[in-house]
Amino acid sequence: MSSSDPLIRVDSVRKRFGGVTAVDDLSLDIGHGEFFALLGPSGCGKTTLMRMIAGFETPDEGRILLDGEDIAATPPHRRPVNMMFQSYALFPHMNVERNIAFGLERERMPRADIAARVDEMLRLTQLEPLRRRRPDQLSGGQRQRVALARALAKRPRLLLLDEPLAALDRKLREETQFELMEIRRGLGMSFMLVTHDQNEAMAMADRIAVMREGRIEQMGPAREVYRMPATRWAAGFIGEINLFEAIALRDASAGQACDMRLRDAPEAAPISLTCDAPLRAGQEVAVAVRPENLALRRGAPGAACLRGDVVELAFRGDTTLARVRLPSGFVARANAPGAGGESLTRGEAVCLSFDVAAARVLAS
Amino acid sequence: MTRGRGFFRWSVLVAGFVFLYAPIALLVIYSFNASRLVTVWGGFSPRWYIALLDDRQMVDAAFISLRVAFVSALFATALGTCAAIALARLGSFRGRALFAAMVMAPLVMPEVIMGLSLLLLFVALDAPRGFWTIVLAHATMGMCFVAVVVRERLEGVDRSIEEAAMDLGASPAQALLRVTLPIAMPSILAGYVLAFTLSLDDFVIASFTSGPGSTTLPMRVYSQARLGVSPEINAISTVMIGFVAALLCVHALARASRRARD
Repeated sequence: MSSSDPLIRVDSVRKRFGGVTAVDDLSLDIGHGEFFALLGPSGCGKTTLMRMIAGFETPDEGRILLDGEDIAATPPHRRPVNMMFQSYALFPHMNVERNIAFGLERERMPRADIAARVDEMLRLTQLEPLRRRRPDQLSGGQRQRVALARALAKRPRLLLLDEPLAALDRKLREETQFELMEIRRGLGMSFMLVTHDQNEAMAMADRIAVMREGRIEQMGPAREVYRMPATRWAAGFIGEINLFEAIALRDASAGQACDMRLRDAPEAAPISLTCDAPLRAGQEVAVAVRPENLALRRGAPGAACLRGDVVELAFRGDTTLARVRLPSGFVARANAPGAGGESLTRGEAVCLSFDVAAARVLAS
Repeated sequence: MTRGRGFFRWSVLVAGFVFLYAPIALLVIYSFNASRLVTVWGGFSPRWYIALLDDRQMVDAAFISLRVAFVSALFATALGTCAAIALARLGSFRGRALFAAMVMAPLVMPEVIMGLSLLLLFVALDAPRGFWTIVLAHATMGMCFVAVVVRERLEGVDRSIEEAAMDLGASPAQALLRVTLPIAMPSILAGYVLAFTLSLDDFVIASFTSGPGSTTLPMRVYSQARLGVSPEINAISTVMIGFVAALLCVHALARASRRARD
């Protein structure tokens, strides 16, 4: 083990169930103290990957290294990794205290130390008054905290969180998100979150891997994944986005600015955007713009604007979401803030524009 | 209209209970009959219960039955629980379907066939028939009932609870002992009670597999009844009914108190 090793290294791992490939040649690293999120729709293999790290599934190919050592031969009960289950999986025949103490007792920790650690965990999760209750006497939120306290009690090197907030209502979910982040900062351990909820992943994680069909579609810091989606699919999966069809007007190498024309603004002057991939003249690309970066103006046909008609309006408090049909039939979504948005009417002709700095070219 | 329907419901209910329990009620009442004649009421008397205490054969048979039931239910529970764990937890293994069918077969197999085949087996093995052959036979019969009850419960338990135990450092054996079995315990106890009462009741299989000196209570009652029904048989039957009822009550109360505690 050297200090430069990541905490967990997943190296070209592949796992099949019957004819289905759940995880396909996947590699990733999780650093010491990092909050990492695996984000993807159900069935994308994220849970399988997490279960392989926990030891409940074995990879068909590839290795999983912990501190540089292959843990293939280590059964789940000997891995310094703990998991918080989506169903919480509390022991129904034990009270809160005994649930939390279970893992410590398996380590043969001295009694006094167990009691001290259990007290610490109860304090941390604010469960002290409920210590003698059984799981079926607790609310969903309380159960969630017991599951967390139980998984944290052993001070694992890595805590795996399987959809930890899925069963909570919205308000409690937000509160718990902040609690989780605070707890992690306090304990300084690595967390791996598995979720299908992009807001959850973006709110908590330092780094996100977006998974699709057993592979990583994009991996990077939360902000980068949101602002600079790598593919159309990743762009569509994370948050709302408009993908405007466009055509490259000349060849350009990766990272070089390239003129392109939007299909829905044929008369407008070409816009100049850089793309991460090389482009050929005539190649079809998508220009991705988040709804909040799409400015909406009334009527007045400007130079660089996409003209369309408002087909739908949804008042969202601080903004109004407008769905605007463009000549090609594509329906764009734009957030119009404040009074300007509220005064819009259905059927009205509007004009959409965006700052090229907020747009991203996606070749695939 | 509703009144008419209410009357109909009540009469069906009463008729049903009468049909089921009138014979048993009569048996209990006549066990306190002072008269020697079974069908003529001669006043209340506990004399047949006292006579029962002096009937060595009957008391011996009762104790044999209780011992057989106690021991065979232990075996049945242990084996049945193992079978249930194998079926509910080991996933698919070679011969699983066959195993499942064979565990469940005695549920539908005619008792006569079971008794006869066991008798043939014991004869072929030249095993001396007596207490232990009845115990083995009853354990075989009881284990399938235990397996059904326990398997039902295990299949209702979230698999991830056991995974959580292993995740927290319990070896598979510890997870079984500290998590799976305690959760399944109510059903294991229910299985034991079931196997116990089935063994206590059984006449057919016991008659095939018993030997000299190991006559069970149902066998003794049957052979006496053939010589003429004496009120003493009513008395011993009442004691058995009372015993089984008490056992079921204790079991139900234990369940209720566990619910109340939770």
